[in-house]
Amino acid sequence: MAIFLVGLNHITAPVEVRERVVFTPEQSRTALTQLSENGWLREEVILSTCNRSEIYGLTEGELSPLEEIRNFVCEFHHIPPDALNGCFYHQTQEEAVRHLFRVASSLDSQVVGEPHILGQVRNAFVLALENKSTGIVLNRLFQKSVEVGKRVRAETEIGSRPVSLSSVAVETAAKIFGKLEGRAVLVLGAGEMSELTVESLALHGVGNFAVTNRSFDRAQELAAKFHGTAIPWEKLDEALLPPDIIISSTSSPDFVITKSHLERLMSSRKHRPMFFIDIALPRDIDPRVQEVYNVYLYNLDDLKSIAEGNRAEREKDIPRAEKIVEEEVRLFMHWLEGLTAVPTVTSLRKKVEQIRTTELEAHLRKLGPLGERERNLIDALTQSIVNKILHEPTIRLKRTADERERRDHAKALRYLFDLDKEEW
Amino acid sequence: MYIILSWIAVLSYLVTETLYWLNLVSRKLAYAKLASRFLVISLIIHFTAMLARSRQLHLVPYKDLYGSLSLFAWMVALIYLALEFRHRQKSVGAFLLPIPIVLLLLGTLLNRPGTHTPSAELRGMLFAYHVTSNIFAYSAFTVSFILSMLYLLQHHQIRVRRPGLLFSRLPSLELLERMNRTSVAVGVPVLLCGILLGSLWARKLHVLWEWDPKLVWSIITLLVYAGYLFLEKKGTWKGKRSAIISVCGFLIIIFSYSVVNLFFSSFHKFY
Repeated sequence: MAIFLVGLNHITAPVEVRERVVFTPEQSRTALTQLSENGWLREEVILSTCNRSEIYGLTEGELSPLEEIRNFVCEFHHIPPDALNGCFYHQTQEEAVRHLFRVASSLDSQVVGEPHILGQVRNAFVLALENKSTGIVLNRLFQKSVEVGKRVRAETEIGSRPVSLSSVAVETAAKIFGKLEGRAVLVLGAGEMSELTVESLALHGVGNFAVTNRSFDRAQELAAKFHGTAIPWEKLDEALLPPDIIISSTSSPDFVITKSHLERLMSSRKHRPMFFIDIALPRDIDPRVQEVYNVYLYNLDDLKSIAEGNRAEREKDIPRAEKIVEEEVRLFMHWLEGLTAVPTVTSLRKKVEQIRTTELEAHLRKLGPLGERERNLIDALTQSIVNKILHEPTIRLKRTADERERRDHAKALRYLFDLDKEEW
Repeated sequence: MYIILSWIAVLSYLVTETLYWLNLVSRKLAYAKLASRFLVISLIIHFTAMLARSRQLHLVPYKDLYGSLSLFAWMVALIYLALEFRHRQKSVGAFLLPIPIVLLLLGTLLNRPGTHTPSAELRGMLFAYHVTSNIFAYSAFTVSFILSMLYLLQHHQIRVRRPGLLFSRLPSLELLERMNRTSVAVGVPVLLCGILLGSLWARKLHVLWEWDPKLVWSIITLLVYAGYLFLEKKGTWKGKRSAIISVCGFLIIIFSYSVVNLFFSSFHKFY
């Protein structure tokens, strides 16, 4: 029995290959069913994202059905087997566990610390669970991996500092305004960058968007997308009054908003703080607006330099994340080894008990008529002998601290007593 | 007895402080939850220490250094705990708790044993309420001072576009401002009460109204913080300027606690 993994990711396979072996949820279900019908693996989970396709499983014996699974993937996606040469990696036991934990912690991602992978791991597991393809080992493995991912996220910086421009803007806004729900946002110029920023703001609960653009049609288009309102460009001054956050990306060659402009505005909005995000080139907002009390202004360069700084910080924390992963791998392996010891003991006891009862019955028959007391005594005697003999190996096996040693002992026991025939 | 209890309280506060820092550094929420529990325990131990002291003296122990510093420390910690509950924000504790720790430590170390036999004028409910409210108000302003400093730090980080190590851990400007407002809004009416109670008590002692320097400075403090509340509400001074007012107010308190107390005041001496 061994945990087994075969797959490919953004490091081993180029995107042209990866996109051919993506499993959609529907395909995953079919593939999982086919895999279990083929009987190579005892449990299986398919994790497929745009950066990786991996099949996790639990093998019956010590041998990994590597070739079989590879061929299965190729056949399933109608790819000639040669096309995937060198793309697959294959790992077992501890390495496979570590791999999954690193994946869930986003240490194996293209952008280290990116948040989506954890949800993808969870979904892959839930899908397999619903398909009844998992059992005690993979259930535990995947539940643990989600926990590890969460722990790494919570205890290290690798996921905490935003590294994309729009998320830096959102974090800064959150540090100024606290909760972003209910904040009003005005978008000047409906370009692609503004759309991205609006999208991340919407993810953080901002629901009140207004869009203004020189071409009103485009403003309406973007506004409709985020359930906002479109405002004609001529009414810019009015539009500036309510919002707390202004995202500007017009193609205007001059400043759209100037200091004197804003000074007038601030008194009518009672000097509540305002946050300008100027992502236009050339800039839309006069840098001197920062001199106005309670006005914060970030331009494209500011966002970029913070994002880069954060990326460096994330990378600094990778060793800490790896340490957490190591710790959890050790704990998991400990549990897994325990799993092999307990069934061994159970099947050993079962087998010996079986021998005892058959022998007892046979000999009692030979002994002829006996009183109740004598029968009980003989039964107790045999039981006591069996228990005494089994006591020491049971205790010793369970107490062996070293995992490898315990596994070897269990293996020896299973071989010597021929325990592997039995179901466990 | 109360000295031993005070030391235990100091230790317990130190544990709390460590837990708050662990929460900041490791970002494990479990630490913050534990810290809050330890803070409650510390407050109880500390209270027992003060209770033991006042049993010994048969009055609320204000006249000595231990009494006033210890009560001050206790109230700062108590007000912080209340703020933490109200605003569900646990990261400020790491910055705030050093104040009660240092105050209690100073009080316990500088304490000169021996019973001060209290004069008759220092007895009575009125006097007790007067001193308690004043210390309470000053504690609230101390909390406001720390919050203002954090506000200025956070504001600075946003302005220079260099999110430092604690940037993501500290609360937002908006929340710091709100917490700050809560503590000042509690402090101002309580200080007003304290001053009025003091004058009532003086009247009972047949002192009509004496312009004691300490009283003058208390009124100045009151005006500064009332001004904070007024300007904050008006909006023009929201944010950084309010934080600066609060810092100034705190400097005035320090001044009146130290210089005025030691050199000018006639009957407002605590030790």
